[in-house]
Amino acid sequence: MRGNKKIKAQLSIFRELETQLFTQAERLGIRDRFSALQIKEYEHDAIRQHLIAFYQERANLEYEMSMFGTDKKETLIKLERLEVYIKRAERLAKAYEKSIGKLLPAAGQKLPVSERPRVFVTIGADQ
Amino acid sequence: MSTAGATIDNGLAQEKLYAAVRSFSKPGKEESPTDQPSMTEETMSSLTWEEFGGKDGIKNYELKRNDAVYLSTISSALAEDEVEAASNRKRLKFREKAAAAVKDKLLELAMDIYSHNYFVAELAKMGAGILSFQLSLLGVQPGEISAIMQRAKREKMIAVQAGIKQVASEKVLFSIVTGAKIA
Repeated sequence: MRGNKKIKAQLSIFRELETQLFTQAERLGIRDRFSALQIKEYEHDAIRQHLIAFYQERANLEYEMSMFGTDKKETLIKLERLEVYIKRAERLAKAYEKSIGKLLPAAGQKLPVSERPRVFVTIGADQ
Repeated sequence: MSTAGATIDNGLAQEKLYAAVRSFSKPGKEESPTDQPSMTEETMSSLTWEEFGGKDGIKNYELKRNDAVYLSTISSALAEDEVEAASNRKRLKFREKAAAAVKDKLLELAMDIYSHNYFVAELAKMGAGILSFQLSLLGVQPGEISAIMQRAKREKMIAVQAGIKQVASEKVLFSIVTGAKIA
C-alpha cells in the first residue's frame, strides 16, 4: 500500500512536469509539435535506449563474472534484476509499438497540409 | 578658448561652484542685507582651468552667476568625456561591459516570458521591457535587441523539447524499474 502511494505520487510529479512543459510549448506556439503520437514515439525511443543500456550492462556483468571471477553471488543478483528490467522493457516496447500503430492512421488523416507528403509532377515535353 | 584637448579640474571647480551658489542662496548670519553683493556684477568663484600638456600653467577664470548653468553643463559633459577617455586608455570599456551584462540578463528574462507560471511570465515581460530600454540607452540598436528576443525564443523551444524528451525517458525508466503502468 505504501509503495503504491509512492508510485502514485511519483507519477503525479511526471504528469505535473508534462503539463508545465506543454503550457510552455503552447506559449511558444509549438504545442502541435507534441501530439500524443509524438510523445509515444519519444517514450518508445527512450525505452529502446534503456534497453540498449541494459543489454550492455548484462554483457559487462557476464564478462566480468566469467573472466575476473568477482563475487559471483552479488553479480548473479544484479543479473537477475537486470533480466527483470529487460523483460519489462521489451514488453513495454511491444505495447508502445502496438499503440503507435493504432495512432498512426488517425494521425495521418489529421496532418496539416504543410506536413503531408508532397508529390511533384512536371508537365511538359520530355527532353 | 578651445575646449579640445583640455582637462578640467572637475572636483575643485564644481565644489567652488556649489559653494558659490549656496552662499548666494543662503546669506550668512553675519552679513547684513546691505552687504550682499550685486547678483550681476559680483564674482561667484573662480574656475581652475589647466591647458593640456601644462604649457600655459594653471589659469583662473572669474565666474559670474549667469555662467553657472552653462559651466555645470559643460563640466559634466567633460567629465563624461574624461571617463570615456580613461576607459579607452586603460581598455576598460565600461559601456561594452555594461551592455554585455544587460544582454545576458535580457536573454534569461526573455526565456522566462514563456514560463508556465503566469506571474513569472508577466514579471519577465516587465523586466525585459526595462532591460531593452536600458540597452537602447547604452546605444544598442533595436534590431540587436529583437535578435536577442528571437534567440531567447529559439533556446526556450530547444529547452522545452529537451525537457519533454527527458520526462518521457524518466517516466519509462520509472515504469521499467517499479513495474508501474504509465500509459
